Amino acid sequence: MYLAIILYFFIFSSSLALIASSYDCRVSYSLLQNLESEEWSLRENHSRLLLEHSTWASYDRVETIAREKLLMKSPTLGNLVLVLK
Amino acid sequence: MNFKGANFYLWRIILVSTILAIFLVIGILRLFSLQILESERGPNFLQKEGSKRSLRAFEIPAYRGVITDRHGESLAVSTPVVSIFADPSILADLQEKTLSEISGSIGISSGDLKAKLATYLDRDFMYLARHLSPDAARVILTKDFPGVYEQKEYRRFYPAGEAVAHVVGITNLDGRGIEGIELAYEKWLSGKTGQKRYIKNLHGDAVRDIGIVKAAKPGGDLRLSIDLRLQYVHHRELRRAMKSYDAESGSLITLDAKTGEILAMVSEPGYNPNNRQDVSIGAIRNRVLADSYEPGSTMKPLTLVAALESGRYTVESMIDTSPGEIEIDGKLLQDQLNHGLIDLSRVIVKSSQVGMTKLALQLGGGEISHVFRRFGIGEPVNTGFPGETWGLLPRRSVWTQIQEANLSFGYGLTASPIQIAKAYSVFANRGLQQPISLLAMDAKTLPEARSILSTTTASQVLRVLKLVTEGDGTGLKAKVPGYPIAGKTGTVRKLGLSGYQTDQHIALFAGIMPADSPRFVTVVVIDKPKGDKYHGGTVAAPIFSKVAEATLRLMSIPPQKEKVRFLYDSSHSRDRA
Repeated sequence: MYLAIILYFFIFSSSLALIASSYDCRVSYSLLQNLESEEWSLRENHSRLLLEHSTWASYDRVETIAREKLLMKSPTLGNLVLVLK
Repeated sequence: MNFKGANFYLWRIILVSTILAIFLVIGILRLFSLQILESERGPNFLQKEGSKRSLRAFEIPAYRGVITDRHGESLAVSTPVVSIFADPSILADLQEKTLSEISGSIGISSGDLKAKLATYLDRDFMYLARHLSPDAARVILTKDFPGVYEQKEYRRFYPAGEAVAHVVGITNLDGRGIEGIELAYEKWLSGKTGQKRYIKNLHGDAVRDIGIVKAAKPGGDLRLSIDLRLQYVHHRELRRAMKSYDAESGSLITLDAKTGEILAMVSEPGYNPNNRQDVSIGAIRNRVLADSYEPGSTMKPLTLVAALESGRYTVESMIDTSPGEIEIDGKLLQDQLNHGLIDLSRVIVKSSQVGMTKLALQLGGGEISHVFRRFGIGEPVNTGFPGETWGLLPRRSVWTQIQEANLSFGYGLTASPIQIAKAYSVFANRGLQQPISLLAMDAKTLPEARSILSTTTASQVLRVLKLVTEGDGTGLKAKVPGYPIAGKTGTVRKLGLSGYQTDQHIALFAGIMPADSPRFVTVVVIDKPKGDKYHGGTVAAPIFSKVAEATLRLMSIPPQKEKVRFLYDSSHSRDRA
């Protein structure tokens, strides 16, 4: 009789645990999916920014602007002052 | 009659009950065999068949590792894209109007879609469009066409574009490396694709994700030894030179002799890795590593090493180059001028063929080729780069006089620009040679250098090479204001079907900078420059000068004190006191 009650108790609690763990699994999986979709959109954003960055900050463009618009030039030896420590 | 009748009914009831019981038992047994007993068509088989009809697995793409330069600037990054695919069996049942809507939204003609559909009708998968930007894909997917699905993928994007294309390489449509570093480190970069399962409904639409069968493992990142700023300068200067000399191809490499790291490496013609339409195979090749040329006079310093190591010569040893020509095995070898009686260092400074020939005949081909091989000529560079050439250094037991002479001034053998740079790194690193690396190194990962020649010999050769860029040396145009430069020019006649061509040349310059505290080695190769200028000293040396000037400035190497104004930082000395 006692054995039956104990067994019944174990079965009942393990079924509750099963329900809880499947629920946890579902919640975690849904969280994972949300994070995956966030990762995807962040990567999407990153690549857009990267493209923008590589277009605006390309060395070629920077040099052209520096030389032609801002009339900058590389220093000659006469312009240099060496600071010795 | 009644009794008889009751008996009759009883018999019928027993019969029907028995039959029903038999059916029941058969049913139970069948259920038992299907659900519990392990058999060919048992529970496993049924589960598998059920899953086949309701479960679908799809691959989770692994994020490919990022390739950066030595300072962390991105050179190759995977960006998310969406491919649109369809189930042809579902598309086949759609109305004409829907089909034309689908074809319109993916940007192909209705006829093309139908033709594709006919080809793929017996399959359950066909691509409609590949690698669309997520925004463009969203426009199609929001229309919710039956049988049309998305597949998330990654496509490689190369932010630095053409400037590093030959180093980084490219991937194919499926994201696998097919050239350059992308191919060489494919396993490391690619990672492992994962797998996900979901339940589909009758129409094949995903109803619910079940879970991840195998998680995707992202690929590893790579930090190259390349310095993007230097790479850009190299690319710019080589491009300009190609235009002004209307050359067929060109290569330019700079390496750090102390660590063996390749800091910049470019070759022309190039290509844009982000737009590969109409790219020729030749443009994809990294000529610094994959092409080999006769190195010409750039090999003379190595012959000088053979002479110095023989113990029979010093850099002051006198050689008579009169009358400015010499006939060997019926071939006339000439200098541009008659230099008369000059010492060995002047033979290098004036790049005298006659002087070198006389030296070679004394030393012998075997001795010279042995030194060349020790420096890495005709040997693998071992960068792991696909298509890397070994060049060719002939092994001979008997050398004719013309073969010996040719060898001494860099003919009759081939070497790639990187092999020449590797050989010169010995002079820049006090006789030691570091293994060449395309990956960034630090003090911990730096491999042990190999001793190639004595420090004394290395500094003697370096002193001679410094003279080449001074006074009346052939490499005067390689000079950089404020910095001493050492180097050697080379002008090679190209080998054609009818022997060496008089109108086709290769101009070379191999230089070391700064010569007073050598660290960087740069090699310039310009193949088939057109016009009056074709010498190493007039074509390749000026390119070296421009590249060296930028390299020294970007690497914060101060000019010689005596060449610039200088002051002492008094605050700093006070701090220290």
